Amino acid sequence: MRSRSVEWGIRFALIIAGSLILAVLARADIVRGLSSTVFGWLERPLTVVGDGVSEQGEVVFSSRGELIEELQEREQQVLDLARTASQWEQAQQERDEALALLNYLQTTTQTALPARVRVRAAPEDADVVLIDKGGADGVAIGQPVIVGDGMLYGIVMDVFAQTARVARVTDQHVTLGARLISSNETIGVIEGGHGPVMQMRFVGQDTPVQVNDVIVTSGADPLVPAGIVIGLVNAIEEDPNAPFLTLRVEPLADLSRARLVHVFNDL
Amino acid sequence: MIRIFFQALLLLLCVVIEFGFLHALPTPWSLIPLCLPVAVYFVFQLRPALGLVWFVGIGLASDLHASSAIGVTLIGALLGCILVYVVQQHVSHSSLYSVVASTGLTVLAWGLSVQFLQGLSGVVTDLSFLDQLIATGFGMLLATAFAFLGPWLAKYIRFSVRLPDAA
Repeated sequence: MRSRSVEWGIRFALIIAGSLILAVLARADIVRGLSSTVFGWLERPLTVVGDGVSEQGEVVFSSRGELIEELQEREQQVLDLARTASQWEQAQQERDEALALLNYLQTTTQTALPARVRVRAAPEDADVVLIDKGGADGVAIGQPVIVGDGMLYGIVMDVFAQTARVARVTDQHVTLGARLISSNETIGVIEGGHGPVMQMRFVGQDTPVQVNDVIVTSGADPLVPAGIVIGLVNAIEEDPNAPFLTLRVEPLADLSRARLVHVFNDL
Repeated sequence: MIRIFFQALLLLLCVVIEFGFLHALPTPWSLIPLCLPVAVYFVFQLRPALGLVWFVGIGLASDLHASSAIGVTLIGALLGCILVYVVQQHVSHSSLYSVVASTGLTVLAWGLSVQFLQGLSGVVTDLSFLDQLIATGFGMLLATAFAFLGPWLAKYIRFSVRLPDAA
């Protein structure tokens, strides 16, 4: 009986010793490399099948509750991604606008106050927006607001303590002296309230103006400096019986998408 | 010799299926232990040496597939030795229930001991105790299937394949 126990003990000791040797060998780089090659070659087709079954058979392998939960999780992920994409796009646009403004401001002697467009136009007041800077920041009625590379965005219409209402250049309340970029004197008056384009009135019949000429502010208004780009001449309405031409001017500023603006406030 | 070759081939096939196919399936199907029930089945078929080789082989395959801090080969050898000793010394006959229970205990002990020793060495696994119980359940089901199909399959092979030393 005792010899039988000793025999078992010796057997087990030998097996454990052999296993120990195998375990140590399994850690050797050469063994691991060789085995990974062999097992990889043998298992790859089965792994591909397993992965395929796992992907295609999700409905089979999951319960209804799990599928509903996963669907809700995926929908939430889609929403989160959409939100992130929207924020990213907004940040990207603001960055581009800020860079353009910075480039413009470096070329001018004017100082400007950066502001964000907070509230878009209400339906009854389609061309008016609210910005997040107001009287406390030095904003005053009549100051010009620019975007991008110095494009005129609008004119400050109302000022509150922390905010201000800005009438975009296409708004009916905007009236500005303007000139061609190639001339130095006021040639007409820009007016909003004509849909997506502006109207430039009181332009002399003999004024050498052509379609696609650039219209800029003339400096006739006390708070609006000369040379801010307003837009391009889109069409010329010529009435032989009238003493003046009427120009349709298309604003160059992206009025609907601008989020970051600058207010000229040190004039 | 040819028998050893066939046994080695069978072990390799089961290891490849378990590690290649079953582990690629989603949970809980990836927890199916294919090789361990076979090893227990061989032990209960009074072929302890073959069963031990399977235990050590499964451990070695685990070691080769993953960098575990301790050798799973050792766990395999230890559990194999214990099972062989218990079966040879204390189990009078290999009933279906004893095979199923032994397989369940072996799978559970294997999983827990590997997880415990990995935890001791700082390796964290995402298997819960419930997962171990699920694996145990799968092992017991497979053991039942082997207990029913094994004798029939062995008989079929014996009659179909004439090995040289059996002729």
